[in-house]
Amino acid sequence: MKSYEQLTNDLAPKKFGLYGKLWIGFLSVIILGAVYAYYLQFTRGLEITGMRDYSLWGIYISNFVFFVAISLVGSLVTAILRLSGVTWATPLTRISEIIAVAAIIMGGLTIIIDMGRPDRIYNLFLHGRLQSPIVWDVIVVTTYLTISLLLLFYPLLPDFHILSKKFKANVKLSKIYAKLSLNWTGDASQTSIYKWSIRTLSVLIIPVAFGIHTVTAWLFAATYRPGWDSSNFGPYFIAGAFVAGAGGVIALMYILRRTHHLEEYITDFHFDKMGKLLVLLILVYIYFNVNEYLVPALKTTEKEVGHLKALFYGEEAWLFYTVILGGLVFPAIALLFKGMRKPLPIFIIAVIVVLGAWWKRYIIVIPTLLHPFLPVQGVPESWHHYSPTHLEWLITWGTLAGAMLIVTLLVRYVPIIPIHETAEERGIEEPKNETNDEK
Amino acid sequence: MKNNMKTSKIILAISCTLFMAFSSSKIEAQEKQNARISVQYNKIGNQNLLKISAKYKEDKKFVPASDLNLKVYKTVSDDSTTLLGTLKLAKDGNGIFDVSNAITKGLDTISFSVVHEASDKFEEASNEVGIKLANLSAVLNLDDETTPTIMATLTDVNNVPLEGVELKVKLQRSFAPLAIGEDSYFTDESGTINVPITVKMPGLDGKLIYEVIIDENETYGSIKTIIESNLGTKIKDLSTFDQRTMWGPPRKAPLVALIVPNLLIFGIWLTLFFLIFNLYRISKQKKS
Repeated sequence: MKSYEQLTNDLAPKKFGLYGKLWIGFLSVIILGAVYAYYLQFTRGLEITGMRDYSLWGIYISNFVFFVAISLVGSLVTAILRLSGVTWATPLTRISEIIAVAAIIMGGLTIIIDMGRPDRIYNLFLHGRLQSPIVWDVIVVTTYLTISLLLLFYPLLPDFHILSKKFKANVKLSKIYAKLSLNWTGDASQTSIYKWSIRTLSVLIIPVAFGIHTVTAWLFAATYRPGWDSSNFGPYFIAGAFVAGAGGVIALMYILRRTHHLEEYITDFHFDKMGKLLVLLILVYIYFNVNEYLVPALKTTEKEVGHLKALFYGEEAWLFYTVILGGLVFPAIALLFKGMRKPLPIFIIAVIVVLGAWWKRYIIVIPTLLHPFLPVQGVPESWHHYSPTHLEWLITWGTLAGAMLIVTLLVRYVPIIPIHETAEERGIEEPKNETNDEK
Repeated sequence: MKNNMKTSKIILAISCTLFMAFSSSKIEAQEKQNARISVQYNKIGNQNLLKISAKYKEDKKFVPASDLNLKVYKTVSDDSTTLLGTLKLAKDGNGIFDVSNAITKGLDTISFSVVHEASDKFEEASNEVGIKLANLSAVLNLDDETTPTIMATLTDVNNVPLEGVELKVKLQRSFAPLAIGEDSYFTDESGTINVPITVKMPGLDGKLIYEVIIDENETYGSIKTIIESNLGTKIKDLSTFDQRTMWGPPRKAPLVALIVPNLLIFGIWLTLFFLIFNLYRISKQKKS
């Protein structure tokens, strides 16, 4: 059994090496490029994007839906698995909480990016109508962000206390950790409040998480358009969100395991379990997809036919089949084999699933807008199609890089695997008068 | 220095001469236009109006003679002509002149002439309209047993019925009047027409406004008389403006859309504030 010192040494955050610094530099360059592109958009307006009268939502909104989707993993791993008594997920809780926080911050920012006049955002609060899903979305995104931050912060209290002692030699860092630990001593009364709060947050996050993605789905479903006019959209979006989130956790698990040498804590067993969970989630999502496409296809109303034709054998068919087959069906089949649930194969599959999840949002948003009930006519030919501009892509990449930068910075300063919980689970006790000083 | 000033003066003098020469030649080259004036006599109720418009031809197209200054005269049977006033046409070349005061008791015929005296842009132009004065009255006969009927009577100023004059009956609607019954009716020997109203029409608060018209008659001009009635089917106000609806403004949201989300928001945020307060409680545990 590992000693307490070994455990803290293994799990304490580590300084960036060369690759870490290069990674930060790479992300910063993309973000700076995106900031410049956004400056152009802010000064010239949305005309710098490929969005026009018909395709009035483009990759910004697809990206927003993707962020909201992937943020749901916080509730899946942290809340649902925790409340179900699944102990094997402990090493994955922090990773999923970090993903949730990063994704929801960038999701909120993406909505502002999509606005033609962000300087008028205050009007949303002054004149917003409680009947509108847009207002619900603003409320639920803010609420979910607060819960996610609390759910990230609460379990960190004992870890911050541990880190403040571990990094005693680095006075400044130790003081910051000590402040963040909120005078944590681990006594009975603190532990009681701490456990009650985490349990309450775990319960609270589930309806809010379902709410955030249901409301996002209603932004579409409450609009009478081919492809969106569905009462199935809420659960359909939630099922898809769990797939994207689980894929994101698996991918990040693999990367952090490699970069932080956590092979003893994130084991093949965890990948195997997450692989099985991902299969289940994909199958549920495929079921919803069948509902979503088969029912309108059977009804074949005129406008639905136009939309479905474009997806099944028209302009967007290649993307549709790539996403459905490549991003859902094949990964589900592959993950049925044990060998494919080993770290490297499942990492590759997870990356494909996440990429598929991003493009799935694209095919939910764009084709519908290009097949409105009133025919597209009397406008330039280019308005019949949507093609994102380079600046639009750069801004979108900037938001994705922003999310990855938040994840990177968080894993630099907080333990990727909860030290306190792991020690508790493994029965490792903190020695009295610990003097483990490190820089 | 002196030479320079001299050169400047010469250039200025030549420039002025050339400018004057060109500008005067331009004025000379400008031809005066022939304005075409049209005049219509209109009587609506007790109001007597002249509808005047003017246009001219430019580049083979008629364009309104904007801001044209006109003088309006009246000529009565003894050939005495009196200036009634002046009128400046609007940008669209149209204008209305009220001649109610010019029609005195005892007059049975009258002429109006509209004159434009020569101006910088237009040649002298004029037009006139002569009419025989007539009175058009209309009543709505409502009898429980028979169909409601509009009875209109046309007489001259001496109350002598005028026979064989074409009248039209219309119902005022939002965009244009709607013809009632036949296209037109002719007055009988008693100067009367009777038009039954067989079709029920909707109206705001059941109100319908009918008009009996003599339309651009060569002898009598245009005369219109109005009858207000409550014959219409009341229009049901379907507006939800004052109701609480999902499509209403924030203050008119349905109560359920206000109560349920606010309760949820309040409940969740109350819990969150308590959880944030718990962080404070944890931080104070050590001291206690």
